[in-house]
Amino acid sequence: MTRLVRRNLYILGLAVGLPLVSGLVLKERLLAAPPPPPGPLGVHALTGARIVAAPGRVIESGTVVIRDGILEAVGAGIEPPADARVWELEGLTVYPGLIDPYTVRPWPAAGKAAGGEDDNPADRAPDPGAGHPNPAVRPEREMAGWGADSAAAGRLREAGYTTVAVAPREGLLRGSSAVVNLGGGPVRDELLVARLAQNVTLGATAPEGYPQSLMGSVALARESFDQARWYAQASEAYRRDPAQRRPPHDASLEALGAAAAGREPVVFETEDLLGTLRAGRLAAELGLDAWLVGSGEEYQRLEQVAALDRPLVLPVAFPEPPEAAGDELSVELEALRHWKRAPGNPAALAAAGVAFAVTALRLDQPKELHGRLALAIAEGLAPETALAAVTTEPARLLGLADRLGTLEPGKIANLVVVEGELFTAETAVREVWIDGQRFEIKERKPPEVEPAGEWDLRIEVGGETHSAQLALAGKVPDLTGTLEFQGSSVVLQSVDVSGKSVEVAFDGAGFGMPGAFTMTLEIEGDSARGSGTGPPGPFSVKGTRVSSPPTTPEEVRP
Amino acid sequence: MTRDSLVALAACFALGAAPSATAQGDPVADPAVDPKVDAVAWASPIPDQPAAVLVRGATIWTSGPQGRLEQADLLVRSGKIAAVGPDLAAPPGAVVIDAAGKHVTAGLIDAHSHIAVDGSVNEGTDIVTAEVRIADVLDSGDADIYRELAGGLTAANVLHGSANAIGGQNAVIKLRWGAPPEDLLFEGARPGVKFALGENPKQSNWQVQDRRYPQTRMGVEQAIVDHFEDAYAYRRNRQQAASPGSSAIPPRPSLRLEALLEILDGDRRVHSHAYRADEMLMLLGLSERYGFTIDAFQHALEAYKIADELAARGVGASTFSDWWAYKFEVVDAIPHNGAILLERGVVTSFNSDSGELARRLNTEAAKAVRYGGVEEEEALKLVTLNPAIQLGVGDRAGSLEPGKDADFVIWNGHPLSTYSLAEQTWIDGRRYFDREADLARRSELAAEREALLAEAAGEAEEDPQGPKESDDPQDPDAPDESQDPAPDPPPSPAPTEVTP
Repeated sequence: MTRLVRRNLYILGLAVGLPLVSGLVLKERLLAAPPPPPGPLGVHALTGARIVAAPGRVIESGTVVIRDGILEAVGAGIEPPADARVWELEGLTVYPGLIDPYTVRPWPAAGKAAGGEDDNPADRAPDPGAGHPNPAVRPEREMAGWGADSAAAGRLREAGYTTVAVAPREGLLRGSSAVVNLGGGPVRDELLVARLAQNVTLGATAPEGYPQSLMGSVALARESFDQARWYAQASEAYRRDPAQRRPPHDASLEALGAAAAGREPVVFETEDLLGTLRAGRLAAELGLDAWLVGSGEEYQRLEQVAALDRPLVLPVAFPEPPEAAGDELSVELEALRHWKRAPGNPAALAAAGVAFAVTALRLDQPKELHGRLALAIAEGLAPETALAAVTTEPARLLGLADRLGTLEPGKIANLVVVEGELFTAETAVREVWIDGQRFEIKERKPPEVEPAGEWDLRIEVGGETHSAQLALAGKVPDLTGTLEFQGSSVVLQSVDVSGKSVEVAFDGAGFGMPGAFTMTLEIEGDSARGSGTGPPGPFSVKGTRVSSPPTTPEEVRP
Repeated sequence: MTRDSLVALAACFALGAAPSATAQGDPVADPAVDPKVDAVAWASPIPDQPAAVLVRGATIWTSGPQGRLEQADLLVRSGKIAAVGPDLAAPPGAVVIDAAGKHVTAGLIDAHSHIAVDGSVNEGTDIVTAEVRIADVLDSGDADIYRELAGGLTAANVLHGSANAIGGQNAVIKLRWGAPPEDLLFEGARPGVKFALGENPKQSNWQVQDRRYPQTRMGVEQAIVDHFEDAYAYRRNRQQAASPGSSAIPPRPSLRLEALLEILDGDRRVHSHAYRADEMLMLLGLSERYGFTIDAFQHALEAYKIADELAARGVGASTFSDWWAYKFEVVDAIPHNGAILLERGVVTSFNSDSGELARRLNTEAAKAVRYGGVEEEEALKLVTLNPAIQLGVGDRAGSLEPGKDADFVIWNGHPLSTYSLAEQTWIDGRRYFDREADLARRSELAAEREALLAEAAGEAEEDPQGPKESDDPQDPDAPDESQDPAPDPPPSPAPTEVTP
């Protein structure tokens, strides 16, 4: 680690000395660099905690021993090993780390910061000739190379998540998902499953042109799976008799082959019950090994949902009370009923014998998960079933039940430490452990500053000072921003305010240093100081606000 | 009505057949109305199918060889019509409905509908999109289904829009309110496809940025020809690859071309949007050149000019009773179109093309009596038997004949009167609509709504989930809310707004 930091400092120095070639040199040197050593491992003993080792398996006071990222022992009356660092967790509860079997992130555009202002899927033309002619059909995308982005990973950890499946967000046939731990390290260290499943959103249309309708998108999906099967046959026919025009190469159909043959799962994300039933029908017609990401409306047709007999991933984004004030006539009985019954949806499914895993998809923040599951429990969902839906069920679905989902010796040391119960309206997640590495979860305080404006930053690293410009726009909590450094600019992945501190996250790829950076600034008027960390190591920062956004006078209403 | 009832009662006594007792068993009087009908489809249970139903003493418009019968009975067994005639005996356990003074007709059928579709009815991007299927996107929760049941409609031909020369595959449905989407499909209906000619496929009235080939009527014809030729070439290549001993690579599958081959083989029939006589003659010519079958021209407002040509080829016309002058290509429309077509022997229907108009197709049929003096029973067939024939379900629906599906309507008066209401609408021998039950349920549903509103208002004040942290429900990571990544069904593109 130290060697790496030194190397990068040396590179930084070079960059300052030779600004014209800095980016190139930096990139070459980084590409040539050997992979960094694995993160810090070690031996830890978590003592005195209440341990929920698995749904329904509770140890009132016990010890969890972690050795080199693996659970070594879990139980009452276990003596911490002599070489262990001991963590007293009196009054806290340890659960298996939560697993989300379905998250999405924007597909990173080549040469552009993903999720940035200019990140318009319509701009991303397919590689000409390499894949399916329709830009909505992109099964060749593999999320394995990207993993979860760091800002999202931070938010997921806050909710107690330690592992997620992550799928590309845009398109009709969107590409394959990967399963990653949320330790924030490079993909090679976090990746658990490189190719989990293909992902489909019926109803997603092309950026322009065909298809623009739901029925058109269903037709195109159907045809694409047909074509993927044909591609395998065509390749075989060509292999047998190469004395003919070869079939055109198609990376999309090649990537879709396993799914089309039923050898790889296909996840259908659906938004309403009609969509879920539609995906189930199409999957049956095409002989696919389908998983369905449901809508929350399943209670309406339990019999049909049960008959689909497919793995079900359930969102718990229950609706807000319908707006009634002032315009009661516009509120439909149907909307009212859904508001009333949605929290009972998980319980209704469980009562109908339908197994499901739960996803935080469509929640504003992953940490809302606990409150939503508390509501579901209040409506009759067994707490063990709720816990299973975010631990053992997703572990099974992702094919990782031998490594994840419960606290048992030999499993990956992914766990979450909570004060009190896991499923409450205001669950206090204190820490998560991922691959035996501890992440303290900071409590987020109500914001006390508005940091928007232009900031001149002085970044100190290894005794040298570099200048950078930070531009923040918007109002808390909807802030966006960019960071400019040595003539390059990156879009910030997140800007979060807690009390007087502002935390920003970005990917250093735009500066020739790929990887997750975070920087925290304590704001006092127009000055700021703080620190940050990234792949090259830690750094400290000071800054001054040089301009503020124009203040708009309060709107005067007659 | 009172007088009619008395007449009916007198007739019963005169014939010595008391309405409520037979020697063969104990028929049950019409049971109390089913209170479970609901404002939303998923909460509405599928009504029971009694082993036998006897509707007694009504004026029955059979739309079949029996014509119109006064004081007649309709007997239904297990969802099928068993007999129509005077003084039918009620089987043991039959549900008996006293319909004295009422009129009974076959369930009405709308040969041109766009209800119950999830998302846009047009895939208007390419000039040919024969691969898209309405059956993939049926919306069983569309309230239009229930509203049209209340107007005596029992089946509808749900068509793709008219944005392109060859649009999508249509779905013939029965209005089984409460059933999941796949159970709406009318089993055995002939597979069909929407064609469109004239102003819409050539984009005459659209405010679109990107114009597409073709932009003329001759271009529309040529586009159809080109695609049929492509389909033939596709078939030749496929046959070549499949021939014994061949190691050739088969062509890349195209569901579009596969659908066109179904049309060319006569397995998928054409319902073509058309207004002008010249464009209909053009497609008749193509159908002869390529051997495909046109089941009906839709709209067909100038069909009266070519009635003999249509009749000679057995091509139907599915037209409006009296819509015209809403755009240039319909200036020659006349309200006598239906009457003239019937007189010349064309299988003719009156359609709605509208979720609203389909609630009162009976009065659309009545206009053929007013414009052209069509005989009443023939006029009713414009919305019963004739559309059934056009949709390939003439052996299953459209008339009250033994062996056909028990799809029928009990009206409180003459079915061609604007004053008459459908009291009960039955499909497959199940009572899907009952006006009495509907009225009885309304106060209950209103009370439920009031109670939920009050509860929601209380909860909104408490605001248990705190202020929103983000406006983007789809992805907490999206830093820029101007992007909309949610895979919503697309907003309707301009083509959906085209006039019929």
